[in-house]
Amino acid sequence: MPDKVPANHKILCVEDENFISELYARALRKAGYDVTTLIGGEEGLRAAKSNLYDIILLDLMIPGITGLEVLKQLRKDVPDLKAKILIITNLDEEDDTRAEIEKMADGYLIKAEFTPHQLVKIVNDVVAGVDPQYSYME
Amino acid sequence: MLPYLKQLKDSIWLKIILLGAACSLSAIVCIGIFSVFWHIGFTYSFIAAIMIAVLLAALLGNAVANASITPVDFLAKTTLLANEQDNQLEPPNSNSLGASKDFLVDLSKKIYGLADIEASSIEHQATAGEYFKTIAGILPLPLFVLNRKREIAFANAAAADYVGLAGDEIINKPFYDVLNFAFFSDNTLEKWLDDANDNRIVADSKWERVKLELSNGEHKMLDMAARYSKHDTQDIETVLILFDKTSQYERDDHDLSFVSLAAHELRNPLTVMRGYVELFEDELGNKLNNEQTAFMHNMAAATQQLTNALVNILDVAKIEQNALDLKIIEEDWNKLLTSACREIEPKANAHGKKFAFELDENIPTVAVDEKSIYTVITNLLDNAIKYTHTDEVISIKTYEKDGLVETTITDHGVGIDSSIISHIFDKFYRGHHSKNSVGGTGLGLYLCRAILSAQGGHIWVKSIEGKGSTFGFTLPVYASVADQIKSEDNKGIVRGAHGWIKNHSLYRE
Repeated sequence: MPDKVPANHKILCVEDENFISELYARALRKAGYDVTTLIGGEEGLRAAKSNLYDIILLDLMIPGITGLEVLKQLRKDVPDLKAKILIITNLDEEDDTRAEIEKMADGYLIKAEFTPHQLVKIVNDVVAGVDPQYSYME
Repeated sequence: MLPYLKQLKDSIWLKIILLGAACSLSAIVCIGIFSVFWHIGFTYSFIAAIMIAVLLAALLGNAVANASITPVDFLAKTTLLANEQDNQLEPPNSNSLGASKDFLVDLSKKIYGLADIEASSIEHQATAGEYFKTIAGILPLPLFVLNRKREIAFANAAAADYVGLAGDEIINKPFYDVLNFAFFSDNTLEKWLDDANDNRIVADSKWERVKLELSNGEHKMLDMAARYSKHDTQDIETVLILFDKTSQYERDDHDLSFVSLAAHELRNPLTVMRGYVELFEDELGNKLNNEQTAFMHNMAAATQQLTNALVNILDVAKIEQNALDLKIIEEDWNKLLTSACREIEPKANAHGKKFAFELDENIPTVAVDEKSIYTVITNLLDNAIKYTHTDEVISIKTYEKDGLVETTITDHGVGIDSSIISHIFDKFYRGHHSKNSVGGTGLGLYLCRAILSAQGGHIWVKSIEGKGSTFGFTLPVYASVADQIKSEDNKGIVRGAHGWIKNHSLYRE
């Protein structure tokens, strides 16, 4: 079971796949995080700009503006963003795009390679400010 | 002596006797005349007679010599004329021949006959040369001939057409400038040529799935056959024949891209399935009976297996597109290896297998990409578990050897037939015994090899059928590549893994 963490950490999850969003939110809440889930790019960007969150989980393929656009806008408009941004995706981006994303984001995760538990561990590490110990297998 | 020449000999012999007799007779007659009729003293008569005899001998001797040399002269002229060596020569006249004339005339006809045969055979050779050159020219397969300097000495029309170059862009050019090959294994054409050059007089080889990059940016896929022959008198050192398989192999590649597309589509539902399985285990774990718990574990194991298969398929697709990126950093190898093994251990235990570690604690840190090396370890351990049907220990060892860190994974399973062992690292290859009984994509070991070679490592296998297999792989010691890694802003070396090995080190990108 994931370790409990202080509840004052707020997580924004922008993900259009309901099942995944629900699974992540459930696991993260259980671990003690305050989780907000959103679906579309515009509403995700609006929420993120409030600068209230500690972690933003951002899917790339979302309705409206894409995750990549959200990321670019955030970095441009909110230079003092306190949230760490973790990209969650099941796509394989072209090298150039991926390099661009990795420059702007704090992590890049292939969803299929992590279970919710493993995601919680990674989030814990990111919150604690240590390099996430990625685990690639069960 | 030939009986035919007896007549000639007798004739010459007779002439010599006559000459002797004539000289002797003339000397006696002269002495008689000089001393009896002319009253010259005997001594003077004798001297005068000898002088006349010598004079006569010289005249008659010349005739004898002519008679002896005529047949030789006749044959010599015939031979020279027959071979067309001296066209100014007068034709020999058989009328001057006396004894053995018929035989000598026959002989001269034979000489003409032989010369005719020789002339026609030279003509034939020239025709045959043209004949085979025509065949090579119209052969509907690309054919290249390399000389000892490894320049293209000959290329047929199909070859020029295949590489899309004009004759003068091919002939006398180094072969690797024209034929930009890439091979699936490290047995490249050049390596084979070097080996043949060092160790062989004649050698044959075949390659499959060779990639040929053309100057216009397109590429072809082909099979190739080659023959090497040292010291060929016409400097035909190597002959290459290409068999175009572009459409067939591209179909395979399309299949792979289709599979990879399908695999992407499977990622989302798989993520969800794994999530809910985990959720069930979390929330129902203590409410389930043993059987239900086992069901749950089976479901978790199956989704994990599916995940691994997807990772393999997608990684291979990336390797084919030269798009698998590695981030190589310093790692404590025993720690990384143990943690990877610990994660797969429950699966091994579920199959009744146990891991035994024999790790050398003094090995130095390695330079490795964590994520892809997990794939290597997973694949090798998966195989060890899959191909061991008895409950046996799978031993995992690490040690330092020749400046590299080597890891071995040994099972006591079914082993690998020696006839197929050289193919097990090939793409889509599946050992014939196991095809029906054990599942797999035929990509795992191919992937391991590509991943390891991209980070400066190497994979090998030793196996005895029925006794088990040992898979070993090496990784570079961190200190040996630290300079390179540090020069990359401490971010590690980012390197692409690809399945192709270029033929020539001077290949120009």
